[in-house]
Amino acid sequence: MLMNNNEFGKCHFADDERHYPLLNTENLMNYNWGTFEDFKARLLEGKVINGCDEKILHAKFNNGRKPKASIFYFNGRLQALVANEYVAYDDLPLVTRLICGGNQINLPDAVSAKQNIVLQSFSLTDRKVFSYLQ
Amino acid sequence: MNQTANETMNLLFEKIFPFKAFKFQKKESFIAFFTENMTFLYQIKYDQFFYLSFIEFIESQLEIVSGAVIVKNQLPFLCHLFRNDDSSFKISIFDVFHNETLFEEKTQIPEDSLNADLDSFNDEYEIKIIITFSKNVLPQDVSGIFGIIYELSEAFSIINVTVSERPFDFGDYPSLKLVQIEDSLMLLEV
Repeated sequence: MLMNNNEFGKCHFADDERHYPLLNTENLMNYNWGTFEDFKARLLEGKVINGCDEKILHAKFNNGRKPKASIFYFNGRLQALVANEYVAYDDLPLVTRLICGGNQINLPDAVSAKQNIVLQSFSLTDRKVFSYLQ
Repeated sequence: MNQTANETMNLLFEKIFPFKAFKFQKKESFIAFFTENMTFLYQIKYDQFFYLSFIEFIESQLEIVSGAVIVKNQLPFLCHLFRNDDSSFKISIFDVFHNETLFEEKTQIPEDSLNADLDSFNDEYEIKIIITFSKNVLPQDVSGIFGIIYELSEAFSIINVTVSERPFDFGDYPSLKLVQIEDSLMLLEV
């Protein structure tokens, strides 16, 4: 698990071999993006790319399953539009609920989670390093 | 490959994950991965060879539109859509470990299509590759979104091709995504 508490040195948590192997927290949809060159450079270094990398962005955007994404340019910013299968809060694994909180959209209990698709859109250019693209 | 790395790779590749690669304003090339696996960045360290080969292969193409990694028999294959020198579109399935193209097909996407997107799904015996594309030339003037579905056998040969003949009506930023819920495939119009 990757802790997400304030003042906790989470950026280098994965570097400590005492924490191997890391376990995935289910149903946390996330994106990771950067330049080809930065990904290659990190891979060649042989180190773990952590969530605090200055050039490779990593972020959770919602709970759910099977994310399908489109990327497009809108009003001067790169936007992601993601469709995914909805997972009800009560169906999330306990660890997911404890560590990462609820869904950004909570449908009524009577709605079948397996028959609904969620859409969300967010900007990918949140870092200063991408400001030259504007 | 040691046991820990092998177990980690199997854990990572238990699902298909899509990616989008693009050049922006003729500057550097970018790639984005969308996953359900929060330890994705950690796990690609254990499969360094695959991801280096994967990224270098994509970068070597003229213009990769979109793609996905498909797991078959616990081995990863790259399924992607790219644009040729002559502006035509091709879909391809590439075995990264063996450096071998297993399937390649020039699609029926018109050359003046501005946008095209690829999704892929697989079960134990069949792979479906779904390509959606627009026939418009100007983004503000959407004349229609169409789709092509390729159904491939386990040996990556074509079983069936279905071409959408009906354009969809959209707003300013059209996109079609295929979403798999249990055993059903739903075409989502946005």
